[in-house]
Amino acid sequence: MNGGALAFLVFAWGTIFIMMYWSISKLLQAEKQGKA
Amino acid sequence: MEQQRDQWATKLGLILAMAGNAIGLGNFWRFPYQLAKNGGGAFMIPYFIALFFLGIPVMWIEWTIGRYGGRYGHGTLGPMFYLMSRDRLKPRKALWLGIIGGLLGFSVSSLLSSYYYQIIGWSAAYTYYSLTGAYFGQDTYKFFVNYISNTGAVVFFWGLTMVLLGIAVAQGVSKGIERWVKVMMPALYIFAIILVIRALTLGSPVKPEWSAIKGLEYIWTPDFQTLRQHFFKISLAAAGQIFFTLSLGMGIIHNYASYLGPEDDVALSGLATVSLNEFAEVILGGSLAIPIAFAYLGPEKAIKGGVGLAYIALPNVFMNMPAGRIFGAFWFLLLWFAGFTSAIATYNYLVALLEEDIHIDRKKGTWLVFVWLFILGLPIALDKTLLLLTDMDSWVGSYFLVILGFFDVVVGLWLFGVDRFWEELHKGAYIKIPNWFKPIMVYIAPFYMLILLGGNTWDYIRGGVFTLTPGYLEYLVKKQALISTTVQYAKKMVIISRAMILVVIIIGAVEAYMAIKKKYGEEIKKNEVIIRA
Repeated sequence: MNGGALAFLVFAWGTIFIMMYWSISKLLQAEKQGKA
Repeated sequence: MEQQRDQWATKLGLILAMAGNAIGLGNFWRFPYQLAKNGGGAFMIPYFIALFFLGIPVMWIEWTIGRYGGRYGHGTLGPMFYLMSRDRLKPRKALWLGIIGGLLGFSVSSLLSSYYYQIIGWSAAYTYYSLTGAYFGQDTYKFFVNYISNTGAVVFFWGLTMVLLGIAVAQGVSKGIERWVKVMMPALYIFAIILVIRALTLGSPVKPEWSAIKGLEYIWTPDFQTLRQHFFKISLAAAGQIFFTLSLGMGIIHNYASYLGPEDDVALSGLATVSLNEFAEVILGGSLAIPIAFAYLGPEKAIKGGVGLAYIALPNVFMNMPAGRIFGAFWFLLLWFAGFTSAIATYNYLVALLEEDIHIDRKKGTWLVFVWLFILGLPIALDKTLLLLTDMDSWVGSYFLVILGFFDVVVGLWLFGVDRFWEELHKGAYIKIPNWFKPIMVYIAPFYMLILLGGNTWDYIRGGVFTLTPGYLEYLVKKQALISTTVQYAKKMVIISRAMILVVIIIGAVEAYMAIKKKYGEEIKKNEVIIRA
């Protein structure tokens, strides 16, 4: 794969993955605190 | 005047339901062919711009409107739009906004379901045909045509899907929908991940220069030259895809959000829904159909696969792939699961309408909706050319969604009040949305939608879609019909489609008027706000 494509892919996938991980873990953490 | 309504039992259940609502055929079927048709890497740039300036803001607006309506016991758009505009406009004028919202919500849920459920039915059929190897060794185009022409098979798999949808919805929100999605959504992700791993390890099974990695390269090489040449067309397609994939402008995000408690978070939850959807679309959906087609069919056929990429091109791949029956079944089951979890939401919108506005028991309402959708879908199931489906989708899928999205901004922000909306959005919120996002929601997102609407209208005027010019009918016959047909037949299908749309719009308007009048009749008569939650 060419460098440009790889860089774009890593950037896009990375951003989406981080956004997903951050938002879901924050939600679950908030729910846990709410129940406690 | 708060009513006792069903609510989501857990935050995880809510998020999975919302993600299931958004993740649909758009992610795995529509996204790859839009991507291929619009230059791969050239498409991804306006796609991400539209996600940021249009998708995320409208998602937050719809969650907020939905939760606000739920506080008054409403899960449908008519009363929601009325409630949010009555302070600024006074009840009598707000009633008009309620009617617009109600007719759009009812029309999109009814009309979209009438053909979308059938496509889900195709996926059920193809899961079965993959397992039995029915299309193996055959011309996959002819096989698809034969299937669509076999009314018995089409109605059976469509009916089966509708019965299962009915069972899920009849059980209610927390005991039905939430339980189903808690099983189906993780299964959907597992199927997709297994398929992606298989797709990216295919190597070069046919020719050394054809590979899945080349497919990824096509998607991810930023192609500014193609984008510059077809800027408007590609940008419109990308914005349209964002609307479709996030299930915006359908009324179903509002409906699911109406089952939240008044202090439940919407800010972080809306963002989580977007990110789960984008994971399914960009990372999983983008790594399946196109890379697989690049490896087995080569770049040219993969790019020209169009709408038929999922049901015509990919079966060619499965029949030549080791363990193709299993992977074929996984692919079509993935499509079925994705479609099903979105379809539950449109189905529930219509059931909520009967339950809340006309006070029909949920179980009875579920089967009444079943009959309604069956009547609406039957002409589509009987049309072997698929022209009825095509015309209806060109109105509902590209037009109504954007109009509804635009009214979301008009009502939720402009009429409800920007500061009041901002306060409402942050009620019980787990995150603080930066203030610089406000102008994006108030000005940029609606401007984007106006451009999108203007672009689509211009395309339709030029193409003769409104006036049914001979050129447009010829185009339908030559380019859109699945099997050869005549101009007269095409015209008949288009007229039937538009008559159906008109009837559904009228019913939606009358229903919304009656529902709002019934509960808020007194304040409309006095033209002053009386009922407060």
